[in-house]
Amino acid sequence: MPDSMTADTESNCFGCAPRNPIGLRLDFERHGDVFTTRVKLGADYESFPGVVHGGIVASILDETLAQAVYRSGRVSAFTTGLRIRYARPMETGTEHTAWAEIVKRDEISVRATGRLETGDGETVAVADGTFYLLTDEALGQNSQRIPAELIKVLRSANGSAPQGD
Amino acid sequence: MDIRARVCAIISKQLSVPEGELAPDQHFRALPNVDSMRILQIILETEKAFDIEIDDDATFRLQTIGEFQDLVERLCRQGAAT
Repeated sequence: MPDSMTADTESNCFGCAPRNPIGLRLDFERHGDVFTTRVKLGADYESFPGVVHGGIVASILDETLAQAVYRSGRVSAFTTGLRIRYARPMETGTEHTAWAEIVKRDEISVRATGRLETGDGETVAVADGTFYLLTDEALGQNSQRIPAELIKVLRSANGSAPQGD
Repeated sequence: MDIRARVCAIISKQLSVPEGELAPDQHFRALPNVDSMRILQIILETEKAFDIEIDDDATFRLQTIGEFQDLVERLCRQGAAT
């Protein structure tokens, strides 16, 4: 869940909530059409010794793509498809940069692409994702499947500026 | 430029190897400057150039340039048929 919820609500998002003690606590910046974050993780997130778990790498990229989707259109979205391709291990204790940008957008969905890189610009993993836009209309159509309280929060987040922008 | 030549051009660019030095029976692992990152870059560039999707296992299943060219040709034909 992008930090569309942090402005007026207590988000506990694993990816971006600043107060989730076990979360990634990613903080994003916008550079034109590209959204970036820097991340350095320790042994709590390992798979093999010294290597960040591949699922965590996927989470970093999912969050980065989702942030690009939300911040570029001010509409929250659910991930409906995510393809990760790994090129090399993400090492623990080393700063990396993740970035994402929008590839295609229509009224229903957005496609985004992104990449996680080492400090030297070497590719660690590449992501392509599809996101279902939670517009007011989509929320109305899916009101039976999404908790009412979440719909209320998402409606209030649509159109608002996230913190840091 | 046909599909096979375009694939060679992508490999040439990513590995900084002249196209004239690339042949279908050459193994990827024997090419200069090859590592997993560059192989991934070749796949991404190829997907973009031909608007196709290459399976993840291509990274370790494909042995030669010719096999990769065959795969791209097959995917392009499938795409054209749908």
